[in-house]
Amino acid sequence: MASIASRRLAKELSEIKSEGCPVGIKLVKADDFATWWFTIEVMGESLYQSEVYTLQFRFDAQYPISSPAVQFVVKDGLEAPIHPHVYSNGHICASILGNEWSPVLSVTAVCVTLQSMLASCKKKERPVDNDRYVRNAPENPKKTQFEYHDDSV
Amino acid sequence: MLLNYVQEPNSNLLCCICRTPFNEPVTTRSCSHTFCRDCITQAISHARQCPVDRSVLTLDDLVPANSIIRSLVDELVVECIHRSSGCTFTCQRQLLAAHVMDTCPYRTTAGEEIEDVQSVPCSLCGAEFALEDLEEHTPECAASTVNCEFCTLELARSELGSHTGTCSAAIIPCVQVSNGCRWTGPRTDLKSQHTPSCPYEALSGFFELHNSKFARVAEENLFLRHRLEVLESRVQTQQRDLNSAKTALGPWFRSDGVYAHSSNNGGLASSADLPLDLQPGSASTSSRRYSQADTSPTFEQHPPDALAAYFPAEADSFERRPGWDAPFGAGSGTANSQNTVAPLNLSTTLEGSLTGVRASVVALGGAVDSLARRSDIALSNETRRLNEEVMSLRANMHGLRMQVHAIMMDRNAQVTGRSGEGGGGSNSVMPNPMSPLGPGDGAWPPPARFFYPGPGGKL
Repeated sequence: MASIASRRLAKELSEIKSEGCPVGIKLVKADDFATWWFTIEVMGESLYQSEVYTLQFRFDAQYPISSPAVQFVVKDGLEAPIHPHVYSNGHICASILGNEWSPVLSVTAVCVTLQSMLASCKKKERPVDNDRYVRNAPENPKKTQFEYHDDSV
Repeated sequence: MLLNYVQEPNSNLLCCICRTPFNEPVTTRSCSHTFCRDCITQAISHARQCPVDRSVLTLDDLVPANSIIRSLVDELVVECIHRSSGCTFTCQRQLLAAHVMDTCPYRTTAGEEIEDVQSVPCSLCGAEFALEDLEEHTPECAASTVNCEFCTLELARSELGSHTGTCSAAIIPCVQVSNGCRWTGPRTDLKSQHTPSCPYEALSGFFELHNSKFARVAEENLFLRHRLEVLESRVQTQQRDLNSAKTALGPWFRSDGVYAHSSNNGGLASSADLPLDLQPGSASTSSRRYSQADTSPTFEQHPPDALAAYFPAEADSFERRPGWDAPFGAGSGTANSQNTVAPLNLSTTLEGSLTGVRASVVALGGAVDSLARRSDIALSNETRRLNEEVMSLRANMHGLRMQVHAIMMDRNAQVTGRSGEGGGGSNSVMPNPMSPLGPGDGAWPPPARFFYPGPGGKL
């Protein structure tokens, strides 16, 4: 099973390298099939214009059956975007990274989804329970049981 | 099983979960999406929804995909899973299992998923070996260096063989070793020192001649042996045939020595050898008849001593019929009184004997024929004579009855004459009118008429 995950990731990686990432998304590093880093920038007019954020993907052996652990990198001067669904520790409250994950989705699909999530933001603010969550948050965002209530963004 | 596809498959044939061509494709009944069976089974166990459109999905909603899809993916050309081991075999995906199981030179008995054994390159020749094989390989590695045992030159193991053949210090035997020279020494000494003094070398011309002659003789010997075998087998076959012929001939078979013996001795002993049923029993009648009927024109042609036994001095001994060469006759002459007919002569060939027997049978047939004719004639003669005798007897009877009648008439006349006129002349009186002869006056036939003169005496 582990080899199916690495195979699938190798395929995705080769596609990224051959066809390139979608606009605004760049591969930073993919040295193994465990952790990949991307930079993400919202193109066009948005609240996050000319701001570049770094996304971290962590894959387990069950990928793509189980979702990757995706979060913004918040260290070494990097910060998470200020967004109603993004906690300050970089965790993202998005249904496709939780119970709506589908094996059909891929790394680039997740990137594009998050890109559009940022682009559609109308007001830069932290989630309402940010402080409480960040205090108790597990290291891996997948261990969090998010409640998805806002379909608009 | 992870497969490498020779060509990039059509993207429509890729499972969107594992991103490889469908393996055992199944299609959802509710939303008609197609996945590998394993992929969708795992996905459902994780989340009971279709990965594509998130509609609710259970395992019961999965049906095998359309056979067109299955054929398309089964016919994709894949590499052997032992490609990393060196197998360059490629085939349709559906045939790969048979290759891996049966024909792949790199197949393992433990199963397909075996990880590659970590290989270590040989430090000398660079070939890669599994760790445990490397220990065996090192002492025999062709690239390792060894010393020539004669000239102590250091060289690669692979070159050692060719070097030994040319090393000037190598100890080699004399070239005439096959002819008996016991000299051995360094190669350099052979030409310069030994060869001029080798006694066998001086005779090399002779050896050559001798060897070639010997080879020829050996070859000829082989050929002759082969021929001998062929002939022996042929002789055996003939012996078998001969034996069967001998069995078939039975008592007719005689070796040459016996033939000579019986013919020289006039066949005295031959009849004793015959089985009883083969001895001719009694042909005396026909033989006698032939001897009466024919003279013997062939008789004079035979040497008298060989035939003397057949013809003793007695007048009534049988003679050979012309054309009977020898079927009868052996042993006949000496035992003339008891055995007037010769038994079958075994001193001729079987064919001759058969001819003789056939002639005998013909002669016997003729004899029986004429005998029958003769007895017929004799019988009819006898019958006629008997008839005549019966006739004469009947006439005699009649005469006697007439006499008795006359006597009775006389007595009647006497009785009546005594009582009547008396003495009325016996001749004139007819007492019995019923007499067929009428009145007795001179009607009595002369007695001489009733006596048959000829054959009656022989009754």
